[in-house]
Amino acid sequence: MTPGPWRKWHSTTGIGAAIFVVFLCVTGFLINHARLLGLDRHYVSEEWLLDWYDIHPKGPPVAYAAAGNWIVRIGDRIYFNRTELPERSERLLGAVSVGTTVFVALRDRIVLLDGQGVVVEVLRGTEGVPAGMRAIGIAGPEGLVVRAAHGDYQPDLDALTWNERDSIEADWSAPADPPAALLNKLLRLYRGRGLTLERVILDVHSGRIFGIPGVLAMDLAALVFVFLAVSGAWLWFYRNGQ
Amino acid sequence: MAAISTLLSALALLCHPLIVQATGTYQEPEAFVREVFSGVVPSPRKLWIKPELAASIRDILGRDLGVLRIGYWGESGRSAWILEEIGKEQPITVGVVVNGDSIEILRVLVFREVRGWEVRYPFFTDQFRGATLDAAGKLDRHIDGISGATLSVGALTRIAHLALLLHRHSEFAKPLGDLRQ
Repeated sequence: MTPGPWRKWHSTTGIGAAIFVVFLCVTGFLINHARLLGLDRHYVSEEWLLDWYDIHPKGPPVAYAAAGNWIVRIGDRIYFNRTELPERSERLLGAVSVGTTVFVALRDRIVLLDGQGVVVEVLRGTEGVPAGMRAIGIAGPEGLVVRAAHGDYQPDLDALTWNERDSIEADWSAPADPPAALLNKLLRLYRGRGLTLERVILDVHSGRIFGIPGVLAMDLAALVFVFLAVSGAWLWFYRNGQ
Repeated sequence: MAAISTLLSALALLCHPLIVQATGTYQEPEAFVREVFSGVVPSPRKLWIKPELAASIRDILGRDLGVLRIGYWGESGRSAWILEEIGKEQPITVGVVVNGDSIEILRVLVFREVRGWEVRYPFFTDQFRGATLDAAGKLDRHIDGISGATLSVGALTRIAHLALLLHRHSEFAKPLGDLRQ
């Protein structure tokens, strides 16, 4: 077997594959050092890319008003007016205010906020929050009440005791429609935190950003690299064997 | 071919429980608190995160704790904390008991990531038993990592450090003079 045709194929294929090699090396380097470069904390804001990834909340937003504030759930993100809270939950059950404190009921906890939306405390089952919460409300002078799977509860938040009652007449928090301008702002905020640059680079590196065709293209590139390695090794041994 | 197929099926069945058990709730936080206090849970306390403490917390976690006060339980120089820290993307819920000035128990209660769950096992968490803060306020020991679980290891190490710091600011901390003995 003469090396002539192999050398020609190796050279031609190598030139064509060079751009893939450089591309994969650059994206690979970025992936290896993503955390150091902050790529996992840098979020994509380009609308066309967010649309490409279909970054949209699943289901409609849910909102409650309390003491002139709006508590809104979009996806699993919870917002106090225009500020995203650190707590996430797939369920927002209600929000009420008692004095200067806003109580936000999530699936398995109650978040206490001050008037500026700063999280004072998070109460969970360990602090006696009843399982299976369904609603939160105010029962006149008796204050905060919670409706849960097994009954209604009135907490003594200083002693962290929860008094169970069969049924309490209360003004239960109900969903409301927030202003359109606020909702649009929050939707932009939600999308703007839905996709990290690291994710995009990973998908570009693997070809997955273009779906199955992209993945197959990268598979083909891998086969080309194997061919280059084999043909290059053969040519080297052929030359050194002479 | 049949033998290979059988072998692969057996391997898949062996691996399946590991995959199923990797993420999830290993122990409810309420159950952990009941266990560490032998069923008689003391009244919960509140620790206000004052500015000086907040700065120390920021040094440990690289961020604020996110609350102005945190609940805990304790008696007789012993405190229990339920803390959360993010591994890669999801929070890991950990129960920590500090006795005297060192960690008595550190246990992963809820794990939500698909990788790094090996940190739940005693071969890893036992490293924290007896850990305390040195004169510089750092954890007094190196914690051996687990390949493929670096971020989870980091999260638990930060939680251990945080629990020891919070204990020192709690009602159940030893006086500073006693610590120097």
